Formats: sequence, structure tokens, C-alpha cells
Amino acid sequence: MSIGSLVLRRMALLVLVLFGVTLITFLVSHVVPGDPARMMVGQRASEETVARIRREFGLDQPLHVQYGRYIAGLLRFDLGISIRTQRPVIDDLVTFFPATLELALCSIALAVLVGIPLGVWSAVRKDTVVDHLSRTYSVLGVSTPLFWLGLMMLLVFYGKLGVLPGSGRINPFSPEVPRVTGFLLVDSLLRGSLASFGNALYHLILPSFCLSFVNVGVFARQVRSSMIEVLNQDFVRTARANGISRKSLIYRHALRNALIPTVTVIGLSVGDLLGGAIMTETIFAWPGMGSYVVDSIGFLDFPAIMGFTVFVATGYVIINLLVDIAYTLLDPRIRGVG
Amino acid sequence: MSTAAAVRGTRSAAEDQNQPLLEVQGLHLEFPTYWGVTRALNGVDLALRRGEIAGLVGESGCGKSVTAMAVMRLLPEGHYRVPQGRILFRGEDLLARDEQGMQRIRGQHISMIFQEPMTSLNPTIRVGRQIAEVIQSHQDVTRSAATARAADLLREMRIPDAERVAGLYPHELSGGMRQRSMIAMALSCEPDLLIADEPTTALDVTVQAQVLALLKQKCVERRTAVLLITHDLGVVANVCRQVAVMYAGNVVETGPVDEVLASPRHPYTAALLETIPERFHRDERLRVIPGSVPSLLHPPPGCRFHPRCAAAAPRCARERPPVFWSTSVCAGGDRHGAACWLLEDRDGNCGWEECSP
Repeated sequence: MSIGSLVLRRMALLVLVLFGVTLITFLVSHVVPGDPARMMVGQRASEETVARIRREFGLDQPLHVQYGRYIAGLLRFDLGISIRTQRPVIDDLVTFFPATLELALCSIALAVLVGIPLGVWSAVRKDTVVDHLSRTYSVLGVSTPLFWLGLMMLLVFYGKLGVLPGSGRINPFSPEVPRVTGFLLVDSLLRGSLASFGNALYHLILPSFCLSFVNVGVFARQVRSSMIEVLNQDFVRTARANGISRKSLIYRHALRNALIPTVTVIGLSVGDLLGGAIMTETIFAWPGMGSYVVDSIGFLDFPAIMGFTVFVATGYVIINLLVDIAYTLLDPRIRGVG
Repeated sequence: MSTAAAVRGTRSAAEDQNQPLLEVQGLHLEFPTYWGVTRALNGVDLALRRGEIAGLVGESGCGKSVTAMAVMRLLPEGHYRVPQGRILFRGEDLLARDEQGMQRIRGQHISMIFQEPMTSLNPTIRVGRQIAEVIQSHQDVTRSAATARAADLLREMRIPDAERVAGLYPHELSGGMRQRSMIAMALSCEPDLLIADEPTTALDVTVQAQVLALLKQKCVERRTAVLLITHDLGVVANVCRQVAVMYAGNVVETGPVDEVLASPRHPYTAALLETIPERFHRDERLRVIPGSVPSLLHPPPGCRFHPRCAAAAPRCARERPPVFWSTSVCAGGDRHGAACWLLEDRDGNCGWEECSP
């Protein structure tokens, strides 16, 4: 299948996914008890004010009309007005999203850079001490609760040792970095400020280590098992029989084939990180989408919650598309088929 | 032998005769398993001269492939033992080489092709590149020179439009084309010995004949010795000059193909020949050898074939027969030998006359 038709197909799928996701979120958010209009104006406001707000935000309309309006807005990239911040939800998300993405990408990069070599090492040295240690770590990584790990790391490195910052993306007293892309690492470099870059990187250490802790184990396990499978295949034997060096055998012949299933796992992890940012961002006071949506939930800010959900669902579909594109690059058998 | 040596010319006949290219001497090989030790090879002897094409035949599980894999040292290290025996290649024991040393042998001096053309090439690398990588591993050539050489080799294997095919991935080729590419890869560094493990078994019959003829022609041109592993005696008759028949980890009969197929001396070889269905006999029942290959965990004592042998005597169950050789030398200088007690009984001096002039 060509990449063009793949993209078109996924875009069509995205429409279906968004329809389903918005419908479910919309219904759920309207059956939970609580009155957003009342939350907005406060407990002491008069009934008239509440009624006016309700009318203003269309909350007095029947449910299907409200949903229709929401969808109509969505088509124009209008996610409504946040009840809490009084700003368009799309603007809020665009403000907070880069922080989340920056953290997610850093932690994925860390997990890939550590997890894949660990998996390869473990597969090549199967049933040795290295392999046993790496497998033990994998099980440990998968079964460690993230919030517990985050809190413990804060306690040790921030609380006791005081060697790493515990909250935020950058030292609040450091000079302002003008926002261009929203990614502090990029913006500080664009500005030419190495000090700010270093500081932003410094703030990324704890949360991205914490987020990658699980994924290192997941990736290592996946790479290990696919490497072991690939190393037993006939074409590896052919390569050996022709005197191909061990290095080329492992990295050129085996790893490329073993990466095909691994890419799926990495893609799923990126999706999880976007949706799962809520926990880490809360623990490390990271000003990203996760923190934003937690605050919005406390405020019954339905447009914001819906907007977050739509954003994450879109992210999932796009990541799946990227995974499929990566497949076609890694595996020529997928190209030209379909 | 003499005619073949004369053709070779450059190498002295004495060198060829005194020192076979490959000589497997009394090779014992075992796999320790959970249930006990599997004695896969039980004293295998084989000899192959430069430029010679020899067949290694036998039923599945008789140790043909294990012998080949042992020569290439491709069996999983640490999962097998060689309690006895040597594998001499150009006079040097390959068992003494380390993995790095074997890497230089493989592909360059000995190469191997396998049965499964569908899975034996890397699906993610273009065919030409895979061949070029082998060339680059053994020769000091540039990437582009190796790539050009790969296309030349494919053309030589009678692949039409070789430049284009070199840029294709294995899944885009037919089974026959893949096997031709495998042969091209195996011959890319002009090895002295090519081990072909059932190279045509997975191909359909018409393609089989083409690929075999090609393999034979290219190896004769290059004077590459071939050890052709097969269970198909027809293939052996067509392609090989020498044949060794294996049964349950032993070589039971060896000699020039014409002799062995025309007058087999070992009952197993005879039985194997019996199983070949004759053409055009519609109502004929297919003949089989009764019983099956014994478990190598608990092989029968004495001659390993005796439980299935129609001519077995009490002695066969007690003592392992040595190889008895024919007293006459056949055309080419080879002798016909078989490991069977029947041969001793026939003639007091442990031999027999054959080889009509």
C-alpha cells in the first residue's frame, strides 16, 4: 500500500474514531451529577445569573442539539470556550500540549536508547547473568506503580539529596524564553540561551526518567523476544554460512527484522504517554495537558475535558499512522501490497 | 580420478591424491538433551577431492544435515559435543578453529546453500545487496564494485534482467529465482567447497532440473567441489560422481555413483533403491523399507540397520561391521565400500571383485 493511500485511509478512520469518542465523552459528561453553570458563577450567584450562563453556553438546549453544535464547531477546529479559563479550549490545549509532548518524546527517546540495546544484549547473551538481570528489570519495570516511583524519586533526589529539581519545566527565576514552538528545549536554543536549555533539560530528568522506567522494560522484553525469534530464522543461518560478521548479523540482519513488532509497542507507548501524562504531570507539577485536564475536571469544565479527549484520540490515530508508515519503511513486504 | 586431475592441470595430481580437500574422519557428534544423549553421528568418514561432486544420501534424520552443519560449524555452540573425530579441510582441522577463524572460512572457502529458498534470504534487504555484502565481507572491494559483481553473478546464474533483479527484495522473486540467487551468493567468493543441503527439494520438478543443471555447470566451471545432500537418488545419479549413503549416523556405503546404484552392497542402499517407483507402472504398490529410522537416543547395538534388515544375522545385533572395500579399483581411482557383515561372508579376504572395464 502506498503511503498516500495509507494516509487517506487513516484520515477516514480518524473521522469515525472522533465521532465515537466525542459521542461517548459527551454523553458521559452530561450524565454525571453537577451543574457547570453553577460551578462557573459560584454558590452565591442568583438563579437568574445561572440561567443566563446556561443560555449563553447553550446548556439549556436538548442534548442532541448540544452535540450537533459541538460537532459543527469541531469541524471548524472550535472546541468551545473553557468554563474555567474563559478562553477557547483549542488555545488552552495549544498552550499546554508542547510541554506534554516534550516530556513524552524525551522519555520515549530515553526508553528507546536504553531499552532496545538492552533487549539486543539480552537476546544475544540469552540465559546468561546479563539476560537474567535485564529480564528481572523488565518485570520490575512493568509492575512498579508510576505514582509510587515518582513520589519516591522526588523524595530522594529532590527532598533528601536536593540534586534535581522537583517541579516545573524551568527555573522560574531564569530569564524568560520567548515562545516559538512551545518546546522549551527548542525555544531556548533558538534564542541562543544555553543556560536556559541546560536548565530545561535539568528539569526534564526526573519526570522523563520516571516515565521511561516502565517503557525501558517493555521495549527490552519486546526486542529480546523478537531478536531471539529472528536469530533462529533461516536467513540468519544463511548469512552465517556466508561468513557475515557477527556485528552485521545482529545489527543489520536481525535487529531490523526484530524492530518491526517493536515499532508497534513504541507507538502504543507514545499514545499511552499522551493520555497517561495526567499522573506524572500532577506529581512533578509539569504544566502540560495532564495538569490542565486535572484542573478542568475539578471544575466540571466539560468543554476542556472533551477537548483533551478529542486531542488524545487524534494523537492515537496519528501515532498509529506513523507506526504504519514506519512498517512500510522497515518491511519491504508491506510495500506494494494491498 | 586421473582424467579429472589432467583437466585440472595446474594442481599436481599427487597433491590431489594425497590430500583430499575435505576429509571427515571418524566424526562422532552428540547432543545432550533432557532425556539423555542423542548420538547423532557415530563415526562418519567422508572424503572429497578438489572439484569433485559427491552426493550424501539417506532418509530424514540419518545425520546428513548434521554432518554438513558440523563441517560449517553452524550448530549452536555449547549445545553439542564432538567426543571423537576430525574435520580436515585442506589438511587443517576445522574443529580447532575459533568462531572468528570460521567466519573467514565460511563464504570464502566453504559455503552452503539450504533447502528453503523462501526463508533463507533476508526479507528486508535487496537481493543484490545481500550478495554484495558477502563479497565485501571477504574481499577488499568497494561497495559499488561489490554491487556490480553481484549483478554479474546473477546474470551468470541465467537470471534475465539481472540489474533489475538485484534491486528487488526476496519476496518479489519466484522460488527458482531465489535459489539461483542463493547459489550466486554461495559462489560469489569462489569457494573451494559448496555444501548444498537439499537445494532443490522445495522447488517444483521442472525448476529442480534447471537449478541442478546450473549448479553443476557453475561448479564444474569453477572447479568447486560440491557435497550435495539429498534423499533423491535420481538427483545423485544425474549430478554426482561419488556417493555416500548414510543411515542413523553412519556412512554405510560409499563409492562411485554408477557402481553403488548398479550393484549396491549394503542392504540399506538396496532397500532405498527398491523404494524408487518405476515410471508408467500405474497399479504398482509403492514399496517401503519396513520400520523406521531408530531413535538416536537409544540406537540399536551392532549394525544400526539390523532391526530393519531382511538379511540380518545374529552377529549383526552384536558387532558393528567395519567398512569392507572392493578389491578392484574402479575407473577414476575410487573404490566401492560398504559396512556390512554380509560382505565378509561372501569372500574370505573381506572384499569382492567388480568394476567391469
